[in-house]
Amino acid sequence: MKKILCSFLLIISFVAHAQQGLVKESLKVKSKLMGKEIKYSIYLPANYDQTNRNYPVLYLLHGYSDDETGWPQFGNAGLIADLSINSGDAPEMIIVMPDAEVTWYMNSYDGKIRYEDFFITEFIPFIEKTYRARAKKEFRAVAGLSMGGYGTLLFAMKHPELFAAAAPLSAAVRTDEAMTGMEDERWESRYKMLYGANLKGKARLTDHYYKNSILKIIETTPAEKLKAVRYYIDCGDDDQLVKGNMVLHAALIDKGISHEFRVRDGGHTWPYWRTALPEVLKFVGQSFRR
Amino acid sequence: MRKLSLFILCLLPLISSAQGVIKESLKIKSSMMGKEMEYSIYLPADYDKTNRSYPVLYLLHGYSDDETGWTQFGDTQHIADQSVKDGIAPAMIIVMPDAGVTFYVNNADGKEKYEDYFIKELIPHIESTYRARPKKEFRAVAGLSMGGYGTMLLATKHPDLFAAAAPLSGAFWTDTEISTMPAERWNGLFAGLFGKSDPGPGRLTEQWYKNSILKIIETTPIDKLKSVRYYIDCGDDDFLVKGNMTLHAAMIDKGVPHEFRIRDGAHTWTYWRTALPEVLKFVGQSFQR
Repeated sequence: MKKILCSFLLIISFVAHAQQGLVKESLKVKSKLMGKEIKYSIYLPANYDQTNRNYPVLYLLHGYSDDETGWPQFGNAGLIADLSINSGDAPEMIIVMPDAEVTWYMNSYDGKIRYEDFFITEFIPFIEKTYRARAKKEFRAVAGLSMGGYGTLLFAMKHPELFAAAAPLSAAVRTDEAMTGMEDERWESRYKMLYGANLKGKARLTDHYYKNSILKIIETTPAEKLKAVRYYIDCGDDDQLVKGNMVLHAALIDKGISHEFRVRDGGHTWPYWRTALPEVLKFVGQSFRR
Repeated sequence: MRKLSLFILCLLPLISSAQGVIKESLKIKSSMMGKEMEYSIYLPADYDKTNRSYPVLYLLHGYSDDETGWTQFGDTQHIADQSVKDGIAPAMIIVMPDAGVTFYVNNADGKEKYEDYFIKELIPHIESTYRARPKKEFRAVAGLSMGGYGTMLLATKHPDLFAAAAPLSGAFWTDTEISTMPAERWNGLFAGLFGKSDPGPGRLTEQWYKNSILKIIETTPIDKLKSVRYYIDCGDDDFLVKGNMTLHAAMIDKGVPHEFRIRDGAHTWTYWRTALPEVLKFVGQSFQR
């Protein structure tokens, strides 16, 4: 009996010490470009405080109407990161989850919203100065869902020199037809401040629109630049955005850009993204390792 | 020690009996095809001991393959046995017919009518020779590549016959792909089926449209299409993935519920061996309640 009790306690102590990272929510960074404080949440791996190690960084972007608490709260980002790291599926990494409100991670047409510039020229340097992040392309990845999937592709394809891996989930990739055909009310509420008010039909296909259209960026960017990033593109078979994702897959095939593409069972839901996240961590982790 | 060995020995029959049996290259006379046709069959474990009737999955091969492909390269017996043992799928008969390079269609000159052979001769033969449950509810069709195309062809042209269809890496072409296909490739694949021809709109014949999956989906009443469950699967690096994506979009637009998967891989047996358990599970869901 005593032997059993001792073994039991020993096992418990090992289990209790399974490595756990820490999530800190809604921290703040001052932004000149955005003209205000921007919030972000951060996952620091287990033992961050005990060691002096530097870590790779995954920027994990939220969707429309969400914020810097979405991935921690609904995506179980902290728990899933712990599980993936403890099982050896992914290496330890810092995960940064910035708030992007409804900016679509873009600079607006009139310069009033400069989220892309904020992210690239202010936020990344801030993270790399504030935390022990490995400040090289090789150790930087970006991923996100829906609007954040779009943001993932925007950052990775406009700034391929900065990122090693990109994993857009249920990304809002839209064709010109989808944009011109969108109901006016929906267009206005989402895109008025980014592209301009009262644009209808083909008038929506402005210069600024094309500069931020993933499909146009793929078409016009030299293949060599795009190839410098690894892509893992994932969308549910019943997701409204699956057609756009299939067009994306075909466009990358035609351009000759190697990438991973998955269509799995599900829709535009958090259960889907929670099952995607372990694969994302594993995929970006492959860039962080050798 | 001796008691233990004896005990284990007695258990062995229990372990080894959970295995189905494959019979390869059995023959059936066909007037539709004007010759003898071959098929292989997987009979579930205990088929000979029981008097049960079973649901049937028709499992179709790809271009340049035959009735031995799924057995030899697809690991069908082992995967089927394992699925039943693990409780993933119910026991079922699996029929693997030879289809040469017919693409499962009735050819242009009417001398080799594979579709008619399959529907009017093969299915009745199976149902009169084996203890198969002869109802739509207990009939499914699946296949790879040319067999994926054949799966959708048979299921969407004869939705009253099948409960479930699972095309893997199916060959689905748009009208544009058909009309622009270089003569050499067209003639190599389709000369015997649709007739020799040069690229151009002349390829979009009545016979092509009768056998174009996208056209069939467009023109068939939705209630008929909906009466079949579909599981459509293709690898992300497969050269046929674009056609599969077009099929998914077409079925979304038509409003036909279906499962669609794009997984890691290409046009390989490795891919199809990982697909087969999902196929058995999926068609099994039609066979159960």
